Amino acid sequence: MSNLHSIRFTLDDKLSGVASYNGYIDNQWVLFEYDPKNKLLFYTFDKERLQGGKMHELEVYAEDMTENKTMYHSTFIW
Amino acid sequence: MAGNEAVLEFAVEDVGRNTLSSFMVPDHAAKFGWNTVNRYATSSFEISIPRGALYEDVFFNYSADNVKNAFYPVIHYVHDSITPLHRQASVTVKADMIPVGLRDKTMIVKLGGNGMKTSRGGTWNGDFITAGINEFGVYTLDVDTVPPVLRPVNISLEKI
Repeated sequence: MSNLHSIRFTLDDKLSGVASYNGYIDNQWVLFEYDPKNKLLFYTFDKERLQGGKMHELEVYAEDMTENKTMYHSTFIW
Repeated sequence: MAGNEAVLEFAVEDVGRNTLSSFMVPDHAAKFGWNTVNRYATSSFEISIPRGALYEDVFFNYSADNVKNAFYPVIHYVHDSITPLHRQASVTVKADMIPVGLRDKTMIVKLGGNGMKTSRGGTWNGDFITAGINEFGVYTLDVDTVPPVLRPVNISLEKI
């Protein structure tokens, strides 16, 4: 299990602004929080819900006010 | 306990009984009252200001410039940026030249002095788009077809 306690992204949209974001670990929705002032999107690891010491799959989706979409996909060991 | 006090005496000269209504009204202007609902409209622009949104009576100025090679070739100069609004006003702009396929991604934007654009959103009604504004200034339309940028900070493939 990693010592890191969160996964962090920068999330920005130049014109219409961020409308929504969702994150999934191993196909389960997880709580990502957005700090718009610092354009920071982050998930704090939850030891009660996420099993440590194994490979996980991460998907993050974001959408702006005009329905332009982006996503990030990766696997990680935690 | 006594407070500190400063006194400044000065004279005030009465230059007559000029009021707002006695000054020359510029072209393309309307007189807006602070305690009335105000509306100004041309064939391609309309602003509606609710009662109590202005702090005092103003002569409203409006002009428009054409811009070449722009997505929307008009810039609307809506009064001036130093007159405050206490409540949101509604602005409607004719935008019949915007392709139907791009209308969902088109919005009214405020142009800042540094070239920065601030979206005010927009709701379409036929060939017109309407948005609320919190301040006077320079407005135009723009289209957002670029998705948000999502960059990992502390995660890389298969490793945390």
